[in-house]
This record gives sequence, C-alpha cells and structure tokens, in this order.
Amino acid sequence: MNQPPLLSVANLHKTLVGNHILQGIDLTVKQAEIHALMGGNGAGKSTLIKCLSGYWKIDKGTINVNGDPLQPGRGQIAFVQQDLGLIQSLSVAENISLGVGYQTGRLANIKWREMNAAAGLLLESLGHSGIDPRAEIGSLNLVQRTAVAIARATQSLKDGAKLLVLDEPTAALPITEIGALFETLERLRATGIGMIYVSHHLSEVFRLCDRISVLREGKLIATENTSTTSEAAIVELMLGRKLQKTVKRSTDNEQKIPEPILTLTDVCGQKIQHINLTIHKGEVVGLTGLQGSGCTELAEIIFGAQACLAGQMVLDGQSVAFAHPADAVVAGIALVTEDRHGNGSFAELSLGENMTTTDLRRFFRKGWLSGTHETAEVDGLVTDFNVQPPNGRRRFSSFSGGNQQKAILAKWMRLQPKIMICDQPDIGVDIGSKNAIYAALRDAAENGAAVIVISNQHDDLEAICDRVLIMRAGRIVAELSGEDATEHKISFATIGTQAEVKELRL
Amino acid sequence: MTSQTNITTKVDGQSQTRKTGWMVHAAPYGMVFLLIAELIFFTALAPDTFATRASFNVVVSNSVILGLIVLALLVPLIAGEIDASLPAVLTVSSLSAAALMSHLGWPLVPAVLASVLVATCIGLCNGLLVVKFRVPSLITTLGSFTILTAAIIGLASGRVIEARLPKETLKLLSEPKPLGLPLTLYYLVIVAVIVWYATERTPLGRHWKAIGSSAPAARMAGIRSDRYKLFAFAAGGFLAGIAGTVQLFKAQLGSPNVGPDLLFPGLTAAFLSAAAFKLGSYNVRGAILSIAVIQFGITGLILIGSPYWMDQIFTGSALILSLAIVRVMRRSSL
Repeated sequence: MNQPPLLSVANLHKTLVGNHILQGIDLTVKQAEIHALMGGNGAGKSTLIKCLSGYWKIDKGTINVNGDPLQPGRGQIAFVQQDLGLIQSLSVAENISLGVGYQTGRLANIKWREMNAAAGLLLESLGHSGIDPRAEIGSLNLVQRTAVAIARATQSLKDGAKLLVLDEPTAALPITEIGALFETLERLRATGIGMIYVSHHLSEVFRLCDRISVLREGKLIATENTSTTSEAAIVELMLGRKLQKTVKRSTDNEQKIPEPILTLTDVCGQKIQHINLTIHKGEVVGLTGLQGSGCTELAEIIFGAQACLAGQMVLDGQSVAFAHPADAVVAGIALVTEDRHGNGSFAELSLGENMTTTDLRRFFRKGWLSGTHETAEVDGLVTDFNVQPPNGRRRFSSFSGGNQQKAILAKWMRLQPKIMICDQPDIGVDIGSKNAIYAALRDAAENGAAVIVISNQHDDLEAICDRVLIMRAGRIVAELSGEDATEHKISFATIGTQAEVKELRL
Repeated sequence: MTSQTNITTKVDGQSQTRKTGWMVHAAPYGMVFLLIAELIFFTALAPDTFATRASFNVVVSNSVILGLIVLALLVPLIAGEIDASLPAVLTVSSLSAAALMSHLGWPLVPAVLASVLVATCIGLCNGLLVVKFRVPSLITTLGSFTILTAAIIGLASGRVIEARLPKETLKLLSEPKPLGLPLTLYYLVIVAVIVWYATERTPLGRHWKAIGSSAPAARMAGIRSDRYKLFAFAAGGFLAGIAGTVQLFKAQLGSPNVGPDLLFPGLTAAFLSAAAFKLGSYNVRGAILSIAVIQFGITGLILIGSPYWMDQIFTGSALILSLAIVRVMRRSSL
C-alpha cells in the first residue's frame, strides 16, 4: 500500500446559487476497484462528478489523483457520459480518435490504416473484437456503442492515469445486455483501472461493484464494502430515517363503489410490457419508477402519442385504439407532458393562445374567431388558476415555470377530461404553484375525473394519491394503496430488492 | 430558440419594470414610422419626381404581383415550412392558362380554373414530399423550383405566350381604374383580406401558427399537424396560381421570366413581415407594409439618382437590420 490511491477527495465543498450542494465530501477510490456512487435525486452526485471533471471550480477541499492535485483537462480522469457523447455519423475509429487527435503523416494526411488498426486492438482488449473500427456508430447496437465510449475514455487517459468515471452507463441499455457491459468493465478492472460507477440500480451495483458510497443531501453518508452490506442497508442509507407522515386523504372515496373508467389489458409498447391496469372515476393514481422504467411511455400510449403494439384499452366501456393524440383528446383524455418546453407549450404564442388551442372551434362564431369570447374564457381561467401576472396576452415564454404549468393544467382542465394524466407536473415549478397544481388535481378527482400523476417525488405521491403503481423495466411491479402508500415504501419498491430483480432477469 | 427563451425567463423580473418604456409599445409600429420617414425623405430630395401620381403608379404596378406571391409564401411560413417553388408555380400557372387559351382555344374561365388547379396540385405535391418523407421543406422546394424553372423554359421555349382572347375581355379585366387606382391593386387587396382572415380569424390560421411555433407541441395538443401542413402547401400553391392569373391579366401574356425573379424579393418581404405589428410572427399586414417600404424605397432611390445596385443594398440591409432589432426587442416585449 505504498502507492497513493487513484483518487482521494477530502473535505470537498461546493455552493451553487446559494445552495450548499456538497458539504464536506471525503472519497477514496483504490486501484482496480469499481466504486459505486449512489444517492437519490438532488443528493449531489452530478455536482460531485462535475467537480471531478473541472466543470465546476471547488470552493474548499482537495482532490488528488494518484497523489497529485487534480488538473482538469490533463487526462488524469476519463469520463463516460450518460448519453455516451458519440457522433452518430462518424466511424468507430474516428470517434475514438476525436479526443486524442488523429495520427497524421507527412502531408497532414490522416493515417487511416494505422488509426483503424489501433482502434481495433483497443476494442479487442475490451472484449469487443466484433466491432469493425470502420463502421458508423449509427450501425452499432447500444452495448457496442457503450464499449466504444469506454474505449475512447480509456484512450484519453494519459501517463499511467487509471481512473474512469461512468455516469449511469446502463440507463439506455436493455436489461438483457447489461451483462455484456459488465464483462467489459471487469476486463478493465483486471488491468488495474479504478472506476466510479454512478447508478440508481441496486442490483447492478451489488453484482459489479467492490465498494459503495452513498450520498444524501450533499453529504457522503457512508462507504460500505459490497460483501459486508445488504441492499436493504443501502436503501436505508439513501433514504435516511424519515418520520411516518399521517396521510390526509379524503375518506369518503372509500364509501363510493369504484367505477372503472379505463382498463388496460396486456398493453405492450416499445419498452413497456404486458401492462394490466384499471383506473376508476374519482381517484388519483400515482405512477413512479426510475428513469427509463416506462412511465412516460405508458402515459403516451394511453394518449395515442406512441404506438400501442399489443393489448387492449377500454375507455368508459368501449374498446379504443388511438392513432393520434387528437383522437384521445376527443375521447376525453388529457396529458400534461413531461417536457414542457419541448412538446408541452408554444413558447412564441401568448398564454391565452396556448390555453385555447385544444378546442378553438368553440370560439369560432359566425365565421369569426371571437376575440371577446376567447379573452373572457382565458381571463376566467387565469383567475381560477391564479396565474401571475394575470395577463393572458403576454408571451407564454415570459411566464415563470410554475405559472406556465398552471396555464397548461388550465388548458386541459377546461375540457373537463375523463382522464387527466400529468407527467412530472412539478418539474421546474415552485413550491407554491406545485401545491396549487396538486390541489387542482384533487379537485378534478372529486368531480369525477380519474387522475394519473407520474412523479419521482414520493412524498408528494404519498400526500395526494389514493394508490401508487411502481414501474420497473417496463412493467408494473408493485401497487401500494391506502395506508401502505407511504413515501418510504414507495421509494423502497422503486429501487427494488435483489430477489425481485433477479426474478425479472430470468 | 431555447437559449432565447432562457434569457427571457431570466431577465423577466427586470423586464417587467422596463415594460412601461415607450420603445416596447412603439416597436411593432417601427416600420410604419420607417415608411413615413422614407416618404418625407424622398419627397424632400425629389419633390418633382417622387411625390407624383406617376411614381405612385410605378410602385403599385411593381407591388401587385410581388404582393400576391408574398401572400402565397406567407401561408406555409406561418405553418413552419417554406415553399420556395411558389414563384415558379406562378409562372407555370400563367403560362399554362395562356397556352390553353391560345394553343387549344379554351375560353378564359376554364383555362384559368385549370391553371389554378395545376398550381394547387404542385403545392400539394410539395406538401406530400415534406410531410410523408420528412425531407426539409427548403430542400424539397428548391428542388421543385429548379425542376419547374426548367419546365417553364421547355414549355415556352424561352418566349412569351400571348393569351389570344378578345382584347375587350382582357382589357375589361385590367384596364378599369376604380377611384383612379389600377384594378390589379384591388385584386391584391381582396386576396390580402382573405389571407388575413384565414390566418388571423379562423381556427385554421391559429393551428397553423401553433404548428409553426412547435410541431411536437401541436401534436401533443391534439392537432393533426400533417394535415394542416399539407393544406398550407396546397393553399400556397393555390395563391401562387391566383398570382399567375393576375399576372396574365396585367400583362395580357404569359411570360417565362416574371416568376423565378420574384423568389428573393418575395422571401425578403415575407421574412420582413415578422418585424411589424406582430413581432416575431409572419403576418399579412406586416407583409403588405414591408412591400410598401421596399417598393417606395427602391423607387425613391432611383428617382434621386442612386446607382442601380443601391436598391438591393437597401433591401438587404432593411431585412437584416429589422429582424435583428426584432430579436432584441422581443426579449423585453410582451
């Protein structure tokens, strides 16, 4: 043990926009170990990674690599980004060479043959001799692409540096192909390379990693050896001890006989498989899962925005198949999308125009789009939903996130949908608006609508949902209702235990 | 686009206080002031030639066909697509109407209807290529522009085709001057009012605008974007057909040269429309005003004896400057 550790972080502090994100992190990564970094949303994982990459300057503390202070951009640490950062239209060898530069001959000509051969050797050493260095990235499968990204990262390490950071490398991979990635990483470990492996998935971490560090609220809570800890213990560390909240749900719902409004039988999509689900009038159903678990796809299939590949959907007693969201809107389904800026709103149109697009014909009277009727309706909605500033003529993009979201909610609520789906309604929304949005959703349910809320905020789900469905790898794996739907249990079910996940893989 | 949105959000707190500034309220009418300033400027410099009925008639005569093709270009632009082939469609329609009448002896009405139908179909084909095969509309329609230009040369062998109709009929269509203004100007006004109505006062126009703002968001709001886009292309073709017909009435012959030369002036005016009245959105009133600013400017420059290439420098700078100003203004506007 004369050798200094590959990475040693001591007392690292970082404050961003007034928030003390990292509060004294101590972390050591040894030679030839795969070190998992775990933690919930906002625990500080990505900030820590960005400090290592030099994206953020640290406020206090030290970062040493191989005993030397960290100098960003010197190839001491290599990174594999979550989206891999490969260029689709370039070849494997070109991508690998991007970071380190091309080998050139005397006439500044790129030595393609040497470059391709070197790339081939590199991939072979990672156990991927099947990848043609001349192939375009676009023609490779996801595992091969990940391998190329890893090869490029190792290539960028200089002068005996041996530290690789992988940010959720399995996020895009199908569950069946994770094994192939792990083989690659194990080969790397055998050559003495140390890795930081950021992941949400306990099962992966326990299968692959040597040690686990858990971050929570900007502090490094513990570093455990995988062999001496358990999944349950890590979950406890990630969640912390939380007080059981008293649930304040209206109880009169239970006296009513639940009347089904939407039934899915064996519904399959690109990623989701065999979804069976019944939603009743007047209930608020939570839907949650880790990234890529299929919640958004399920919502979009119900809304007709993605293809339903198999299975049956029954709405209000009638079998339905929506080819376009327009059909779903007519049938009484509304979807507040997750990506507000991308597909949820028209930034250049006014707030009012955003709210009325869904059924403009109502304002088309005597061959004229009636400004007075439209304005009256918009003004009423702006008041009802307390949109600030209360001016529907302003451009949509000039409103704050919370007010934008209230307006989008108003746009759908005014149609009085039978089913109201909200995909992450709290993203980029201030706490006051969030409460108003949830109150409006509860109101809609009281009035007989069925509400589906997709969220990663398990405390919110506990507070507003009658029951919560948990998705993992494209399936609904658990349902918690009534007193069982607590934040703690939801979180636990989301992360999953090894036994259950093993079952899934078989 | 996204970065701009971010900026707006960030400076929102400050801009709210700045919003009372007169600049913000005046900005949508900036081009009106520009037009007035231009008229005063040229009247002062060339009182004997510029401020005359003759120069006004020159401006109108130069504006009508340009105006009609700008209106045609405007419709797909509002729906977020561009149809660069429309100026060539104009020529195809005026040539085919002339050919039907002189070579095949068709009467006026069927010939005109058929040629407008041809123009509409060409627009529809462009739309189908864009919507079905997802080829970017600029590329698709540059391709069809080139093909149509070649077809025009082939059809007309580079010569004009006379519309062999009784002179009285054609004269009736272009000679009368109600209120002392050329009849063709009334054609432009009627078409402009119709396009204004469709784009601003019907659900159709609002949906085009929504699709132009964000096609994915339109889809998720339950708008069948593809159908609306297809219709916008067909409408553009139809309007180009009308422009071709008016061109035939005006010149009393089909000319192979008129259309293609209108591509750049037409696009310039269409883009410039986003700098007036409704900042950042293409709109009919803005388009008409842009044409006035450009045509009075060009005529004025000629009359004060500027070199012949000056008008293009004027048009180009007007386009670049006004849209740059719009970008800046919109960050603090409503």
